[in-house]
Amino acid sequence: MRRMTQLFFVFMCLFSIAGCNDISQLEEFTFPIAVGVDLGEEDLLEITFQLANPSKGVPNLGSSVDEKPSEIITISAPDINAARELANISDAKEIQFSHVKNLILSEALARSDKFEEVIKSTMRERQYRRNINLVISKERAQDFIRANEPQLEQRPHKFFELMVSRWNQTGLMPESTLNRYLEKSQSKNSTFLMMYATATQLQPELKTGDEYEAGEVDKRGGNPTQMIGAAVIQDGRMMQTLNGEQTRSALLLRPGSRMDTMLTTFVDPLQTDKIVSTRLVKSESSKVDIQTKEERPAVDVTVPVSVHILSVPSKIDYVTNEKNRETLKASIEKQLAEEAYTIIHFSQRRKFEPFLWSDTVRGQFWTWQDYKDYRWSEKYSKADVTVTFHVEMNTFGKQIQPTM
Amino acid sequence: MNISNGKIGTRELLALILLTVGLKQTDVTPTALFPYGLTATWMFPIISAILLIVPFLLLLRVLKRHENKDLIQLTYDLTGNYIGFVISLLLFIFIFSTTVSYSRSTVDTLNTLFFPKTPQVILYVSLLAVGYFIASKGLEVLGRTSWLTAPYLFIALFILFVLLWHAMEWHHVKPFGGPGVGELLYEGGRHSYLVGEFILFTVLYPCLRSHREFRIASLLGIFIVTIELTIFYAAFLMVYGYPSVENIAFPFQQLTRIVDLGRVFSNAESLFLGFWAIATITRTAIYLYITVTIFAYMLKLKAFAPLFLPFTGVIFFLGLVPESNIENVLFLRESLLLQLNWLFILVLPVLLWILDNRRKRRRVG
Repeated sequence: MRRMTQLFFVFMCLFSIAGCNDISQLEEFTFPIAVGVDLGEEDLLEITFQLANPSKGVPNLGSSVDEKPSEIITISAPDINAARELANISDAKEIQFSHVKNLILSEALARSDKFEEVIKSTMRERQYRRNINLVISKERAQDFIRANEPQLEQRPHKFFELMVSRWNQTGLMPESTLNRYLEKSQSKNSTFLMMYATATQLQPELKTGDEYEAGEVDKRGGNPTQMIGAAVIQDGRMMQTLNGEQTRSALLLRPGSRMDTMLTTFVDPLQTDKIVSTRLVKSESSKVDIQTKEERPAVDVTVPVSVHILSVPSKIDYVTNEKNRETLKASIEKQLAEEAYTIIHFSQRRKFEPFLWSDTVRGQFWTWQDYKDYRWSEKYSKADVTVTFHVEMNTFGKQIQPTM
Repeated sequence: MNISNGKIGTRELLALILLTVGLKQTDVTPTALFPYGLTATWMFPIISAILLIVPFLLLLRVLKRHENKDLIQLTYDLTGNYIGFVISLLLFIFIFSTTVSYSRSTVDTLNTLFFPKTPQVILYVSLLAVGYFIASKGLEVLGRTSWLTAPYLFIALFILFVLLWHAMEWHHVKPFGGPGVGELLYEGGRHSYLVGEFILFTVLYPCLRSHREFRIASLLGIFIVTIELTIFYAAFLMVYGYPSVENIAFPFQQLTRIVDLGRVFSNAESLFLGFWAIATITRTAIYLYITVTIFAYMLKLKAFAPLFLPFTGVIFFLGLVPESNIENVLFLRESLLLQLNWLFILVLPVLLWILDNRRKRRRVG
């Protein structure tokens, strides 16, 4: 019996050998940080991988100065997974998708009917994580990836990480992870806003604030990448774009979202040729109330924001003078509401609903079938929408009055 | 000969419950349930538990009257040799197919998500061999192993839930009614195999130190497991959203991939894989043990230690029959056996109670 037990333990030790089937060393892998997809010739796709160079940017490792932070390769293949296998014809390392941060799709692809297919093909592959970001680039995705050269952050994965976390704060870009997209695209009732980006500088137009679309911002020097605004995905393809300001308005009207800082300018109510620049903070979530009983649904949105005054070029005293303060408050509320109505009317005309109000509509129904039969996406274009902003002014910066 | 030398207590039984029923969010069960519950699937554990509680309490009363008898002996005693055998056989088939199906789904999960190059056979052999090792050592070892494993698993689950907080959208559990109240109650009752193990665990009744300990462990178990399953089913809905959750093959494992521990530890799923793998191996051992116990009691065998090895072999070969995990899911969803097992879970205890009462009355009269 004792001998049997001993033998059994020896036998059990053999089981650890079973792990050798999936043995893998870190140096055998290479990790793409961004994957770009373009329409290619003859029904193929052009897949671009930006492969990170892990030894770049590691302090105290003595990496040579002229080492590139990443390698970028483009391959024509029927889909992303096939491209991965093909990429090994030139790369000795096995490509692992588990660290992909961004999936970049070109606008041409997004507007074609292959778009949904490409995204869905990523789902089956086990290595893709559901929190990768989906970005639509105005030009070809490979050009975008090649042009993107952040100057201050050489490691590309870190650049993307930081950028995404900044966007969530500024509200110029929507949150668009794969998980959110799949969830929205299958529920059929809501449109999806995707990040919109470009690396080509268009003829710069000077605009106040954030009415820019990607590429229009007059920026000199640095990384050519501009990510601002959103692409609207409806019924599995891209239909239109929203500029930075429209995106921000849309995000403000969403029930849950919160943003930390948005720098915005408003027209000075007492001297209309001047502007007041402010920082907008939305720390509470908006209240959305939707009445679905009537034929035309009534939507009532209340958005609480707090406004921090940054500069008043007209030198009018908005701080100590209570009457002026109230005027400014009312004027900001009005201007915000006007912006909101612009995007609402625009979206009602084009029949898309980017505000996630369908989430609130769901709560009005008892069963899933009732909700599906209600067809919110159709009802929305006829809805009566009322928007109220509640502005709170709680800081005026660290100085009461600038010295004259 | 009793199958274990000693007896187990409250915490061991509680651990057994937590590792069997309490792990039903990590296997194929949610995938099988979502098409029926829609946005209200998170209510299934609650409905099943409420439906279970009365039959279960009745069964406990009957068991208390017949000290030192387990579910199978009781069935034989109260319904006679022939019907008793048929009922035991059906219970055995139920637990046996559950064991096969769950062990296979564990192997599939490991294979698809974590060890894609390892042949399934090797994973299966490793899983069952360890399961056999634990189960063959008897109930005491099994109970203690579970008690060692369960707390860590639950700590890991709790951490996972906290880390997921940012990814959850509360609106996704609406509409609350899901498919409608009637449908929900009907499906909840029909899918009470979710908590069926509570009835099956009464075969361990004689192995408990006292009636009180069995009662406390079971009721506490029902309570904890219901809350836990409800939270996780709701979390699946809130993270994935209703229509897309139906198409996710391994919701729990994908959940661990959404978790981010900040910028430094971005891929944290292997941490949860560890806890889950240890728990799920112990779970295989528990199911193996219960299967063999029911089989031995059914045939009124005295010694059943020699049965473990052949059963492990049979489970291994049957588990290799389905070609893919999806067949397994469909089996759970559609097989006649699992369609009818609610009869055993909800009706058998009541039947035993009525028979027992009649017999007592006759004796008194």
